[in-house]
Amino acid sequence: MDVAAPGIEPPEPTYTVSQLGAEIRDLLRETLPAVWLVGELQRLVQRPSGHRYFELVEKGEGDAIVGKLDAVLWRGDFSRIAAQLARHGQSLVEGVAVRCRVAIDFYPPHGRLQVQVKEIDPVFTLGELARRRDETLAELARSGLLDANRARPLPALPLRVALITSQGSAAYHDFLATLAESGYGFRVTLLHAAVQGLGAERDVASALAAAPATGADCVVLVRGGGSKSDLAAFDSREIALAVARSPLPVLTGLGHEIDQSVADRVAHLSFKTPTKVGEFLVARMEAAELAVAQLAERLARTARGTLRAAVERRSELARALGRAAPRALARGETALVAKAWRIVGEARTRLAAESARLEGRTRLARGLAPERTLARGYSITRTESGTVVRDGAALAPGRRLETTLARGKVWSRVEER
Amino acid sequence: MSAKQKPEPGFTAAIRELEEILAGIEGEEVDLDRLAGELGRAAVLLDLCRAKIRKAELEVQQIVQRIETAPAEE
Repeated sequence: MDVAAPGIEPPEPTYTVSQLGAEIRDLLRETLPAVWLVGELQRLVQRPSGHRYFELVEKGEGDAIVGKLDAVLWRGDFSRIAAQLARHGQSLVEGVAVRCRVAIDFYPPHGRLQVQVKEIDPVFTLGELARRRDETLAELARSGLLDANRARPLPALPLRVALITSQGSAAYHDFLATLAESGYGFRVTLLHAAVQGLGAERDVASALAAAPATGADCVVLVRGGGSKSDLAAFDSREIALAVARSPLPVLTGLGHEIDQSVADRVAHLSFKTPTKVGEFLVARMEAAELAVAQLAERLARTARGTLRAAVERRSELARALGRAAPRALARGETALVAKAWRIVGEARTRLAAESARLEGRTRLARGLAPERTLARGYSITRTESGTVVRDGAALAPGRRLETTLARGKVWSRVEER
Repeated sequence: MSAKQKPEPGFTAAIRELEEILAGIEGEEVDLDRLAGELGRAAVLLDLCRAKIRKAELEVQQIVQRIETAPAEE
């Protein structure tokens, strides 16, 4: 509406502020009814009215902001878009580049230019997430950090836990409840960190850096379930590097069913949920306890076995000695009897030999007997005194002699010699 | 081998000596003069072994009990 001073033909129209504002609004609406716009979502705020306000940012060299537009997502549009994003496992989250269809709007009462988001392209956002993720993974691989945390040893008794999560969250409660139920003496130090939103990267990374000072055996990094773009922080370079470089083994439970974030990939072990991380730690304690029990049992069994073997060996020897002693005596006796028999045998042999010799002599003696000589015609002459006469000179005449013949005797007297 | 006064042998040494005595007695050469002496020594060694076993049994029982009833955690 023109306002002109009375009586003066205005050379040019003069606008009031609201008039110009309305003009700008109409011009924009006419020339740029709806366009596709790509920008990084920042400073997301939800008003009590249910409308979402945020900035769409474009970064240039060294992350310098080269373009920025205020954006609004009216409550009605939000519920439609949120439902569509949810079907793709996404949600509105800071730090992610989005492609959206916008209507450019100028709001005269505030003199502010803003874009009204009418549609968000879920496929673009997904692709953008994947691209950033791949970049981070490639960088980690180049610097040899991909499996660095996996190589950190996890103690057999992981009782001291540095828990990184949002205090009081469902993830926090689920994890602690699982440990508490086990009855093991876990000691958990909470390092509170925002696990989604813009602050998440810095929070989680600094918590990871602080964890070793708590004297923990391992770090547990958990968050509750959420949409895929909520997970964006865990695909970030900053968190991935902090996990990879952690001197403590990091166990993740980031609450997502299908996808693995970069943080999961570089972690020592990754689980689907906080509860699963807790169950793993409990199972590890149980395994250690069982191993100790089995060792004790084996030790006891071995000790008993050794003892039994000693008892057995001793009684075996006692029995063997008990049997061996009488046998030794018996063998001694047998040897003795054998010797006796040999002596007897020897004696008999000797006796037989002696008697044979004797018999030989007898036969010889018998051969020399005088009767045989007499039979052959010889005679034996003896003096009266019985002396056998061998020398005639020894006999004086008149001596009486007795001559024995083979049969009978004759007596004679020496007449001369 | 001889029944002379020796320092008390350990279980394994005692068993070895018992085995030697047994081998001697079972061997062909039996020295009956020494048989009784060897058997006497064997009896001493067997008693020694028994005493050592009794003592070990008691200790092992106590230790095993301690192992088996050890608390799982502090």
